[in-house]
Amino acid sequence: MNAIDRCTSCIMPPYLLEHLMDSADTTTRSAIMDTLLVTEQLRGARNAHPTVGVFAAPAQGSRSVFDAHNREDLWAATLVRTEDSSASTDTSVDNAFDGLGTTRSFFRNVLGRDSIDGHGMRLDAFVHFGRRYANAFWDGRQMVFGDGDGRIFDDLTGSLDIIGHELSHGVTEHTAGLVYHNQPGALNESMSDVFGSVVKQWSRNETAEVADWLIGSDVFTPAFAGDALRSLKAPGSAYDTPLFGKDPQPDHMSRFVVLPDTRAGDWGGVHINSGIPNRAFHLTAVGIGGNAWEAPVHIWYESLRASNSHTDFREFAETTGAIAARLFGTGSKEQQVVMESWDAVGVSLGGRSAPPDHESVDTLDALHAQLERLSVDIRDLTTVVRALDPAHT
Amino acid sequence: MKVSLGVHGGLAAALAVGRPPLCIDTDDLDDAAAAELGRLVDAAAGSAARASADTEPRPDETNYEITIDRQDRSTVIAATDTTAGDDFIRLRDWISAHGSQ
Repeated sequence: MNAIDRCTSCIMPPYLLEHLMDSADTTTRSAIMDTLLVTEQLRGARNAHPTVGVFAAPAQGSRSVFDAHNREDLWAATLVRTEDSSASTDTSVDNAFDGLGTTRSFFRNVLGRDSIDGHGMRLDAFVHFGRRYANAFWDGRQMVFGDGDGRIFDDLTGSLDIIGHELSHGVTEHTAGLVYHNQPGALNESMSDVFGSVVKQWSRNETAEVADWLIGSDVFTPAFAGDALRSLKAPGSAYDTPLFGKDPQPDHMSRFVVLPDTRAGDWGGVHINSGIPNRAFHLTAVGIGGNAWEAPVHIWYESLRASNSHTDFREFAETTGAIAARLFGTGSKEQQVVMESWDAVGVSLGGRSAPPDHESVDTLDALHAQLERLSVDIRDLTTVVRALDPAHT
Repeated sequence: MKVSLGVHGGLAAALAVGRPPLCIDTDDLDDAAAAELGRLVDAAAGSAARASADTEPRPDETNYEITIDRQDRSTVIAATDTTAGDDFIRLRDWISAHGSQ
């Protein structure tokens, strides 16, 4: 099955529903079965009723691509492609448009998120920014891509993981809002690397085991003589060249790089120390096995949503452990792998590696209650939909 | 007058950490080039209110710092990809084309 076509309309991710169907708890299985049945009924009703779109969450995230004409003034850019126009003759325009579409589909279909803000925010991208501009960035509202300097960097729109990386900065801004300084900033960068890499894996239908886990491998000229900008699998090994030296990313807290929280210090090394949580995610994905866009990325995404603007590595690690327990059970393989992965990169959970038993009981009870409420909501919605269909009145 | 340009940040920020700035000393320029640099510096410094906006950093944005050392004082003007005005850009590009590390 093509990953791009794996569209679902469930409120809960289908992977999670399927996992919960394996639960030893009969109440959980019953609640999930109800949810699946009612969802299938609703899906049938959707096929029969065009008006059901009024009730469904609108998945918009309309794409617009602008040409900056090699100026550094976004106001002077012109609109060159929208959802209603055909493909352009400009490769950069089409790369950006397609990359935004794939990333939008990933967030919608895998994580149930409607665009950057969760509410169908439009996706604007600017290409051909500046002259020989070798960068791409998220400016708080839109993505901006340069053509590269032609010497080291090629066109920045040529890399899906970079497009996914930049768009994910917007998702982080609209969820935890991690500040761009020190550990929270490095976590911000890491989340974008994680989502950027997993978007690429999802689009290629690659398992965690065979994926390259590289960021930016497509945007360098042969003159760079390195593999990529960063490696989630082996931080510190992405490049080692006479011009740029060795990749400075650490793969363990014992090698954390202390830099000043200044422009010259990369705001405390946000692009450098991100190697530590990056590797924790890679170890989690490989340890759980299968596809990174299933359990691993759901644990990370829900942990991002549960974080705040100043969450540091340890707090985030503790959150991933708690979220893994909530989603898959205390002592589950998923939770064990998550905790072992953080331990492997030197982020100690300080004896709080597993939530106390009463928390797990509370979590299970809360899950039952949530599923029951969900089933009731879906039944109510089904009733409303049927009332709109003359065949059912 | 000595002028230097530091370029920081960006998606590939790790490549730039620790790299020395590009520098130009007007004593090393011919009269025409020195005069042109002087005009560019005056224009950029004059519009520095826009260029030096000290806002929260944006993910992967490039930051530029231009330091102007005269006999009696040192001035730093800074900008990012989204705050750099035309005068700042002209000075930055001139230093990029003529400076050395």
